[in-house]
Amino acid sequence: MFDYGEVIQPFPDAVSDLQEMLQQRGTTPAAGALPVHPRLAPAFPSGLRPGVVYSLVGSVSIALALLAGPSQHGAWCGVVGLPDLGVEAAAAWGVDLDRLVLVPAPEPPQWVSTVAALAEVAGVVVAASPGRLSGGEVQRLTARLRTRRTSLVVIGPWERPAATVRATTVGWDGLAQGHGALTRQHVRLDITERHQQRSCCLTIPETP
Amino acid sequence: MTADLGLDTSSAGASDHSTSGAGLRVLLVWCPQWSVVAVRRAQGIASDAQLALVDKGVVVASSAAALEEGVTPGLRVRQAQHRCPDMTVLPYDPALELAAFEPVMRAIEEKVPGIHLVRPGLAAVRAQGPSRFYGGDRAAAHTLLTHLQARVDHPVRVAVADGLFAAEQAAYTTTDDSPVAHVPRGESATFLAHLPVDTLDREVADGRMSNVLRRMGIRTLGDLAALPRADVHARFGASGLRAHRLAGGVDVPALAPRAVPQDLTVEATLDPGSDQVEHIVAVCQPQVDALMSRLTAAALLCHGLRIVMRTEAGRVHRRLWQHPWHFTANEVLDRVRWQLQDVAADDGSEDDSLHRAVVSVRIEPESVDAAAHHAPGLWGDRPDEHVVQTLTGLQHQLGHHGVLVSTVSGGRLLDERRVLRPWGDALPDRWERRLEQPWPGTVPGPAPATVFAQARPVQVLGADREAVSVDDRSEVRTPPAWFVPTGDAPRPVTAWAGPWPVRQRWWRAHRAFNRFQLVDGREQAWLLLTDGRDWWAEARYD
Repeated sequence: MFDYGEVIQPFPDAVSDLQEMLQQRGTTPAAGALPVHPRLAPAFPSGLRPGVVYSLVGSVSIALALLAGPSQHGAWCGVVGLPDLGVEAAAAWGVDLDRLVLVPAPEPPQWVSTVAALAEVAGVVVAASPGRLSGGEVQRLTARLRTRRTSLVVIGPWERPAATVRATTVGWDGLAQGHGALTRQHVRLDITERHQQRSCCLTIPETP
Repeated sequence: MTADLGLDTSSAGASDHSTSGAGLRVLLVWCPQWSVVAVRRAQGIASDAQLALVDKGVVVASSAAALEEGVTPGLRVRQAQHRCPDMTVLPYDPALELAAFEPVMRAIEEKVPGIHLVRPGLAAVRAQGPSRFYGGDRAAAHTLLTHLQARVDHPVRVAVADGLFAAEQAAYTTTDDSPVAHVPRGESATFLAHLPVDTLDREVADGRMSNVLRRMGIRTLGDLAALPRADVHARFGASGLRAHRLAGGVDVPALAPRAVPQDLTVEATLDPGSDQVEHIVAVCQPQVDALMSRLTAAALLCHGLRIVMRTEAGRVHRRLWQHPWHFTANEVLDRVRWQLQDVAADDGSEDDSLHRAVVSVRIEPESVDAAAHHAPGLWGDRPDEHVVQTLTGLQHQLGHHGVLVSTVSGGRLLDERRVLRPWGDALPDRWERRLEQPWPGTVPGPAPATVFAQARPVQVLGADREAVSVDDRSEVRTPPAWFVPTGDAPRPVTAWAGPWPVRQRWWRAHRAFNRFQLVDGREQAWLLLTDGRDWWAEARYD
């Protein structure tokens, strides 16, 4: 008489959209958040949210700093599409190189599958922006990230990120006209998360 | 043919078991000049060439032709080259010697079992068994000599004496005309008596002892043996005791028969040869499985193997594969596949097919270790199985060099300090990285987050829009005022420092570079390299 199958048919897209909406509203507790490096704690007071995409503009150092927290807590980390990554800088932030996997230059069609594969093992994946992706690919990727509870930090723009981090170098210490050497970098982070903006200033490294 | 070195030759023979207190009877095989012969064969150098092998700047061995010119072991390289300017100088390589001696050892084992390798070129065996079997020491020595002369294309000498030391010294007295030395039982002390005390240098730990003995007026081993043993012991300690025993011919060496290492090499032959990568891998699979089951049976793990491929044209491709943990069967097959792909790429092939058919694939385990040393959880450095599987799967998808692991090593240029290896290859260890060494000329301050794998050409201009140049004395003519990144508009320079010279490998005509650090108008900091005229961006602080 009634087609129950029709009624209890789960709507996978709708459910995942709802979950995403709940997450973006912040109604889910921050439990299970990924730890961040102590220097970034003012910028990310509740840690990195697992299973979401962050968009980072303007600094590779901050991306490495975001890797450092989970890496120091034993997570694997992945870096996709950054063939010129300074491994020494990553080690200086405290990223454990034994648990860092680099995929320097995936072909554009393989970008999504590479990030998805790394999401299987890594706690955080940093990836250079792939350019345009189809809506289906983005949805499949976000679903995978959510189930694996892996955070993705895209260096560049991303459609509907959980937060956008804009890093601006304010100044440099130590270098003058013809003498000196760079000792410290002053960075301002502008973070837009859930339509709220917060800023904080960082000095890298803390002590020269 | 036999040189009888003892005083009483009539007492020699297999039936002579009467003497006691003398050392163990030793049958010794010596290949003269083995270091030189081994290297000459490996490098294909003519036998009459002047050749010297050096270790730590000192000549260790020299060929007969070089010896004639006065190049003796112990000479410094510069001095040796002064005496013999046309001489070839090569590094001393004990591993090569050992490998080259292996066929000789096998040939000896065909006649006499249980040989002890003293060092490459010198092998010893207890004489008792062979003597009884062949009917006397001399008969055993001659049988062995005849056999070896037929099997080894190199002069071989054989000596029989009491104790290893006496046998070795007896072997050194042989010549091409009389290649067998025989010191009768109990005569070793007499034979050794006239030898100088220097001969002990190699045998005892205290290198200065022979010098002290000479200054005491004790010039021969006979003089030393005549002294009371307790006194020698009191004066020279353990070394003296050993020297006295050797001089008295009562040396009882521990001759440990060598354990023949199990040959784990497997080889897959293709007849007719194939040029399809997947087909070759499929043919290799049973062999690899056999290798793995042999390793398992011997409770071994393999973490380094060499794959040798022969093509129909006779070309040989060799490659050593190291693994950070240990190989599984599939991982070995992956290495075979990657090497075949590299061979195809070397041939300039577009797809995966090879231009020349491969006729055989040999897999030689290079370094194996007891499985007990790698019990899981002992180190905890092997990642979880699902991590290994996922990353290996990703590597199959992206290619061998698609997935990398990294470490930091010592170096001056930033790209040299970054070591990238494909996932599944061993990273250099602490000693190879040399990170603790001082490396003058490295960049101070924080490490840049972007290090260009290929330095990017840029332009640095002075206030007059002329290129800034640095002269040979590292002086900057005009201070930098404008910076032009690759394919971008000029930016004003707000701060700069340099030049910081990077001087390395000047002996290899490596170009001398100067480093500059620079902050441009957009607050981007750069590390630049210049050879005086052209400029490159080495790294960016971002």
